[in-house]
Amino acid sequence: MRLTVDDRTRHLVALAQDGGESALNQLCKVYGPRVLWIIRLRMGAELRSKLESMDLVQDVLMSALKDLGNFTYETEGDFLRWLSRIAENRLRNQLQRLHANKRDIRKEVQLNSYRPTVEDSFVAALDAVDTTTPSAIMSKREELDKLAKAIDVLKPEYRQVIVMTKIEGLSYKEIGERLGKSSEAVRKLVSRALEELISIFENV
Amino acid sequence: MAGPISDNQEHSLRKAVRQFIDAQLQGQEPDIEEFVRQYPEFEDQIRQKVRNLQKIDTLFDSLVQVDEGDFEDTATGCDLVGRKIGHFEIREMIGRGGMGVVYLAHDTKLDRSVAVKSMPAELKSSATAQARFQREAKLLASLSHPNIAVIHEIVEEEESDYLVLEYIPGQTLAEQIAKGPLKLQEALTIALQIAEAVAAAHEHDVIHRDLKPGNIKITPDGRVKVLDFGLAKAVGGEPSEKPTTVTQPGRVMGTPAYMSPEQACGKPTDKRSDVWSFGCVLYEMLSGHPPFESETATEILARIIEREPDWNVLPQDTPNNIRVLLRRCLEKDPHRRLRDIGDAGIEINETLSSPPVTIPLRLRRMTLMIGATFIIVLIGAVLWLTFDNKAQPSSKEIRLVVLPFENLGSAENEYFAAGITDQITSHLAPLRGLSVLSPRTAAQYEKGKKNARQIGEELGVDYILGGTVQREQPSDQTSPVRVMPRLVRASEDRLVLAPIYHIYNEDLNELYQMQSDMAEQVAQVFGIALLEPERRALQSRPTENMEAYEYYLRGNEYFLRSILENDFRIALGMYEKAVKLDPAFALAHAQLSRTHMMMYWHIFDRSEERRAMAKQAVERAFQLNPNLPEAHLALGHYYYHGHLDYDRALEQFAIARKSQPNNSEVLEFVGYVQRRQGKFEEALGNIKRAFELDPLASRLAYQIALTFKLLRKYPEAKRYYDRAISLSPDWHIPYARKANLYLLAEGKTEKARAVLQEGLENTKSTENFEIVDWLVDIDAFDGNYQEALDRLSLKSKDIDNQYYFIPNALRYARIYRYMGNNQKAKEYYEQARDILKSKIDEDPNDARFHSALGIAYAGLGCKEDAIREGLLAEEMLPVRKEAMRGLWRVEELARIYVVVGEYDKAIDQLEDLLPRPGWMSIPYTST
Repeated sequence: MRLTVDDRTRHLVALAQDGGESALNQLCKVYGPRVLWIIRLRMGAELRSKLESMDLVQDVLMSALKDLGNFTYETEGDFLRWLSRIAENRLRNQLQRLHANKRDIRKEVQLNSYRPTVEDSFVAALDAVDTTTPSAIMSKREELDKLAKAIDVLKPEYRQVIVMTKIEGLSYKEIGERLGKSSEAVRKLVSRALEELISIFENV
Repeated sequence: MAGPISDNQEHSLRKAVRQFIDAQLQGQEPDIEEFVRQYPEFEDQIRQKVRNLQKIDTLFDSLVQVDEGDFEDTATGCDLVGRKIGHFEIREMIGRGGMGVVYLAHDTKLDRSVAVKSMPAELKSSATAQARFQREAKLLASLSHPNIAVIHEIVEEEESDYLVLEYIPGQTLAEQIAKGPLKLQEALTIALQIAEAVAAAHEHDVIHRDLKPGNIKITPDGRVKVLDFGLAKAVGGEPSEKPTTVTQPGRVMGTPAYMSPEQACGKPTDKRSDVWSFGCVLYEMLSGHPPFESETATEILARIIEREPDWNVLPQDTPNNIRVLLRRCLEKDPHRRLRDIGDAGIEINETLSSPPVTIPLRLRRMTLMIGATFIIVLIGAVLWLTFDNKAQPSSKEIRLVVLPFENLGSAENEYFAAGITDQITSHLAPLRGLSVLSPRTAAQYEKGKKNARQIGEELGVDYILGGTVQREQPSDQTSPVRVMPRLVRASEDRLVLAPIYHIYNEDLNELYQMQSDMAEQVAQVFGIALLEPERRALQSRPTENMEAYEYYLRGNEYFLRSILENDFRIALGMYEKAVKLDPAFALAHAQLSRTHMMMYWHIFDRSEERRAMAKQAVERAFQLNPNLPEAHLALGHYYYHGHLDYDRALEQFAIARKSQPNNSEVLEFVGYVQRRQGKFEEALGNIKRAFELDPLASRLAYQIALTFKLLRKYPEAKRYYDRAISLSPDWHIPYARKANLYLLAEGKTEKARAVLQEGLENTKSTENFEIVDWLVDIDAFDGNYQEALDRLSLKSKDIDNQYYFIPNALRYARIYRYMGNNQKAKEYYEQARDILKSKIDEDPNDARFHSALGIAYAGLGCKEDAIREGLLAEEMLPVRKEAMRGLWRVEELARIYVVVGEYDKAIDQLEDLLPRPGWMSIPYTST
């Protein structure tokens, strides 16, 4: 089953890279809502009040599509991971913007240089993100909200490590490399984080 | 869930959970059971936390893992809007289902709205699938029924085929139900149309296979349209080609909640699967949610296959036949399921068009006949078993319980079933060698949740008699009724007798004849002769008038129920109607007499007239039937309750007992009389024996407790109070008396208070005045005067029972006296005195008033008046005359002495009381 999904994604990505409109649409529709959630989970409540998540989603998708040519699908789940990393970067960017409070002229210029067709369909795709959310996510909407709230309350270091392992799917070794810890230490950190998350989740 | 845990424990719990998670992350796959064993004190919490962990994991998964369904969902989204398919203009998307997307379109040729459905992606790839689909679509097109959504045509475009369907405005049934369960009338009207639609399709061998509320639309003018017929098969393909199990994402047949068990197992489906789904839909309409629900699809499937739906959530007004219909539709074995959905339609139609069933008189007569006929066989069997094929009767008595007969048919049969049970029990009771448990006891064992052995042990019986009643042809009033009794030997769970009787709608006389014929035949079969007294007993019928008999039975129901005045009044009404209809109904007269006496005895109507009415009724009963045991019982009551003439009463009871040795009521009353005589030990024996015969009668447990209490055997008393409470947790008396017990036994109020609180919670506030009274007293004892006053102010009635009469004023007076507020106390004592004086004027012979007046005088400091009244009361009702009430007089006299300061005299009285069985005890006096 997973193979099928993966094949599909690969297929769509390939099509999109070639400029296929509907493939692009589909990718956005399937992955858009997920990116939205990932962003929500990454941002704390404070941040969420300051940054519009939908904007961020658009931001992320735009960067992704722009960069699609550079993306190679190797292993299962690569696409989402890739999107997730983009989301992380965009988020950090936005934070800096928030603090700096200046506008990034270059970014705007880049926007304008988009090919119209991609933009049109892209906008349409983005419009569709909320209304045709994949049912798997729709049905769990409430619970996901609860999870998001719980993650909000989590200590930043716990939150970070949970996102890295659960969303990005990084191995403990990989996480360890990023954080400068041993993989065992990471694992223990994850168990503490999960346990804490459960406690909070129960009381949300 | 275990109670809240301390911080320390919280810490350990969390540490434990962390360990578990860590082990999991290491890939060790820890076993939760082992874990729970390690920390048994945290079992609930651990399980919950692990559950939540799994939930969280699932949530993350759903974010991260995309599945096929997602691609489907988003695939053909808004593609079509604005396009033209053939001569249809696609206007907007109106829905999405497992079958593809549905659009609202405009038929440009015929200028009407239609629905256009795009084909699911799979079909486009397979030629065979497409061909099959076309075939199904053609079949569907051939259906023409007002409740089936029509297929107009198929449009073939390059990239895909499209179905053009009738456009149905309005909501789906699912949307309607989401607002709340439907009213009965509405649900049935809708169900009828669904049934008709499905029936029409079945006629043409088209099976829906995916019937559910989401597929049923209701137009604004109330017409039902069933959608998506047969498409499920066309789209899904044969089971061998593509397994349609739910666990495969993508091509799923929608929610599994409406799947039949055979579908859930992946077996091929047929018309009966539609019947099942129909049942689910009807159930959901009535109750508001589907019969099989759970969080995950696999859980739902498991429930469909293994569990029965919860029948209790159906609304109260759901008629019996609809319940039966639902059961037949939701029968898991397709062979036993309702076969033809048309039948469902007919059943519903009848329910909608006919008024509520009133049982015709003929049927009522039949009930009695059935009962009587059957008894013969039973007696035969019993005697056979008793006699053991020898001439010697075995000395052991056989104990039998008659369980309510189960009604397997429509509503009217309910009456049969109940009638049979009553009849059999009342006819069997007089037989020698047989001890039959009373009907009230049996009513609690309806619907066989326990097996024979358990019932046998619990009730202490050797044999269980139950059975079923059903009409041969359920919808045909003239078809015979099939009665299938079953006699089971409890300890071995062995079926001893299981005859089948067919009862026809015959004339009364012919049925009597049949009855005696059968008696002879059965006697021959069992090789014994029915003993004369038994045969005569069979022949005698209490009354020829069945209506009168019905009233009599209903009167019994209320008479035995409780000691509340209202119940007796209703019973009176019933019996009076019975004797009006049949003035020769001796039994009813006897019962009438007893009811009058109950009114008299329990102070509801302590008038001469009442007593006279009782006398009259029982005399009439004797006139009609001098040997009637119940008449003797009634006469006994008259002597006892009416005149405290113990000897005569016992005499009568003894006569009654001769012909009904195992009648628990006789034993009970013998016990009560003995108590009043002061023969407490013997009384105890008799009441206990009565309890053995009627083990679920809480009043008997209570009486035993009371007797123990009088004997000052407090631990035993407590045991029986507890038993009474567990048998009838909503009866307030045992709680109050148990509280009193704690006061007697220990002199402390704490435990008593706890019991009273429990009582308050479990009983109705309109009935539990005695509990409140005790709480007032306890508050007063404990010095919580304000609470006592507050509670007292909630009461409006004075205390008025057979032992004492205490006006509220007197109680206020006492509390104020304890508080030291002499002014108020005096006011209230004066009030009490006036009330009591007027009561005495009305009824100078009621000793209770004099005692109470004595107390009032004592409170006012009128010493001589007080003592005079107290002594007078004692004279009127001395202990030797009436042990129980008399004792109260003595106690009250003692109180009087205390209040007026004649402590020595008070002590004398108490000393007099204490050695005897009675209400007083040493710890109690300290209060």
